[in-house]
Amino acid sequence: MIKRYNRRQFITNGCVRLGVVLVASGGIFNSSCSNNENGTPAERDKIILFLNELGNIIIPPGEVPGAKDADVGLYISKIVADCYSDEDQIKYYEDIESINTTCFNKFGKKFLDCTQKQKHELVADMEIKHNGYMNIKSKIVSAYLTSEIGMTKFFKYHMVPGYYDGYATSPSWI
Amino acid sequence: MKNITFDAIVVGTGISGGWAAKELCEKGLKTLVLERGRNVEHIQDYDDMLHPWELPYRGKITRNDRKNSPIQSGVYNYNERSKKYFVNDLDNPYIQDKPFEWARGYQVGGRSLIWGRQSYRRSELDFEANARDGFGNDWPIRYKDIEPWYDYIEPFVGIAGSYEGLPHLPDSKFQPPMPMNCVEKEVSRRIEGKFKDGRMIIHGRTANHTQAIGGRGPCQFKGSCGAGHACSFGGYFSSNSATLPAAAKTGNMILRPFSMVQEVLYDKDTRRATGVRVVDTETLEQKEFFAKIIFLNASTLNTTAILLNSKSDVFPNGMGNESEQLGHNLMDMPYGMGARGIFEGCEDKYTFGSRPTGIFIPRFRNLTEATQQKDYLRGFTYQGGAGRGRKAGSGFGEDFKNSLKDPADHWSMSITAWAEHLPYYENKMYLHKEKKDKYGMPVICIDCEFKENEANMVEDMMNCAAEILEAGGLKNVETYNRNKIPGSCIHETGTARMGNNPKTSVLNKWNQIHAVKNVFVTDGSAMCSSGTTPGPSITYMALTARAVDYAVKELNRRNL
Repeated sequence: MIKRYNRRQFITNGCVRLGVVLVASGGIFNSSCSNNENGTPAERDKIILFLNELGNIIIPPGEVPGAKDADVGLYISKIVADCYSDEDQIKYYEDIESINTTCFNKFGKKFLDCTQKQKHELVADMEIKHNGYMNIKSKIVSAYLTSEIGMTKFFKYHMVPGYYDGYATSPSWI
Repeated sequence: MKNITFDAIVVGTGISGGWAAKELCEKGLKTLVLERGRNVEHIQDYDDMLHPWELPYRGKITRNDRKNSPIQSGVYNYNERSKKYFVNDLDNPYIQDKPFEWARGYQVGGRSLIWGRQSYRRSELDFEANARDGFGNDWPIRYKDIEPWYDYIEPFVGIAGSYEGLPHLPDSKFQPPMPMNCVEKEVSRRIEGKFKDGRMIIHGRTANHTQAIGGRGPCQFKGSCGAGHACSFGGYFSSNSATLPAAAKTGNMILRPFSMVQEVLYDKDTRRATGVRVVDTETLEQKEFFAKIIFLNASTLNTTAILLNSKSDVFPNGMGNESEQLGHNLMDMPYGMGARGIFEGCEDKYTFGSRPTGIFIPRFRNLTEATQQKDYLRGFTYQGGAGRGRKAGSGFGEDFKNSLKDPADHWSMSITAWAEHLPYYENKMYLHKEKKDKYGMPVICIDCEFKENEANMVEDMMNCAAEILEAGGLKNVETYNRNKIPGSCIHETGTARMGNNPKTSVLNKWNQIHAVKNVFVTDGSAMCSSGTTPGPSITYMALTARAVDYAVKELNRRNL
């Protein structure tokens, strides 16, 4: 794992290679260090796919489309690159890496190569205890709920409510 | 436009400048209105009707925003959509001798686009406060002097509120209040009569309209004003929605954006100001404009900077600064201390619509002998409200997805205090001797802090909040203090104070500079005290309308 003292160095190197464990496991980002601090387009696409697949286990499609349909991965990647501080970016990549490592240790393969059943098993494990999963999960949930699908298909959307009712008999979002 | 003499010049288009423009134009004066920033047209320049998911970051602040506007990006309603109404801090530097968060919006409409909209009259208690306890100088006016001007401006502003008949919180000319929700109503009922000092919960008073005023409003409860997004329905008062269109309608207003006033020009023979020197903020070209009277409404610190920068043989330390009070007595308001709890009951009830106000708890300390405090002078009030959000679900999969719709088990409620900041001579702003911004204006330095009286209130504000919520039946009550620094309340005032004595004040009771009678200052810089109750803007508006009325009468009497 990346240690605290070299975090700054890690980002200034402009490298998204996620530590030795990742390289050893093959990781989802198996290319070497790039000069773009947000990784190569291929690496970014893999992270987006990873987030969307993990998102679909957490918020599956059903009557209402799920996390992948809302493309939570694309939005999360965008805000991580453009909005997050250096520290939060490192934490984010560590968290993804940590999920992937847990997966590799459990099934001997990358998350994206797992079967649906294995993905469910992994997420069930991580729900009980995991460093990093909860952080990524909360980003997925928030990305879903703020997406067009989340706001208009999952929730009821009232752009112009027109009045205030402090005694409403049902939640405004249902 | 050079060499044209106007009847009047107004510097700034924010909440007080808009009123100066409207009143002067409606009284028939050809008025040049100068704004350092770009134009913002009501409705057509607003982004409030974009859906949240249409914004690339869905409202989030970017790394670049934090880099370019390290101070503005910390303001409570700075976000992806509202950031265009805040300045770039790198282009507009100031020096913090002590930490001071200075929120600024340089555009037509100024901060009236992004203001908090709470509106409360000052009471006789506020106008007498300095004389009673000796902090600051005595206000040269009393409540009766300003009362007719509150009466005059309020129907045009459009303030939703409830008539309470409290001497320490005079009623405005109200539109109907925005309703309380079931928990607020119940909590206010439960505390009725429980406190000897009269603590009570009333409707927040806000410049959001529950009835249409001409083409403005009513409020549609969509929440865009609180988030700083402006309002395409004109549901709240701003210069852009209200005063500037009224001024434009007269045909007497010339509005000139990108015009930063750096100096008021002075003629020592006539002992009058002749006009202003302006820097075009796009071309950096200098221009001079002339007028019979000048209203400075550039916001507290910028108005004061203009005066400090208006030096001449007669005024070596800045125009109107013979008292050496100019730049001193800077006040904000301490705020952010309060309590929260959960409410058991009303589980079958929810809220619909985004209400742009909440409940209000008027001052109850140091009102009478019986409420006299040992440790501090003056007092504080609370704003707050109750609401019910969603539950934080757990797990994953279809059940988890469905649970994201579950409402929270209980309602919660919080109240937060706003307090008076005493005027201290040492709290000040001044111009840096060498450093200038890119427009050539000396950089403002701010040296301001909360002192003992403010610190002594903190614990009481937290404890009283908890007492009120507990008396209202809330459970798991906990107190908090957000440790806000000076400036973050965005109520900076006092640096060109009014007063009867030219030796101790900058302005007289008509907001005229004592020594330069045709210059009027009617923004927050004119204040002698911060007041205990927040919502200072309607006081600036009332003083502005009053000063314009006086100025025009004086012009007609040929005294100016």
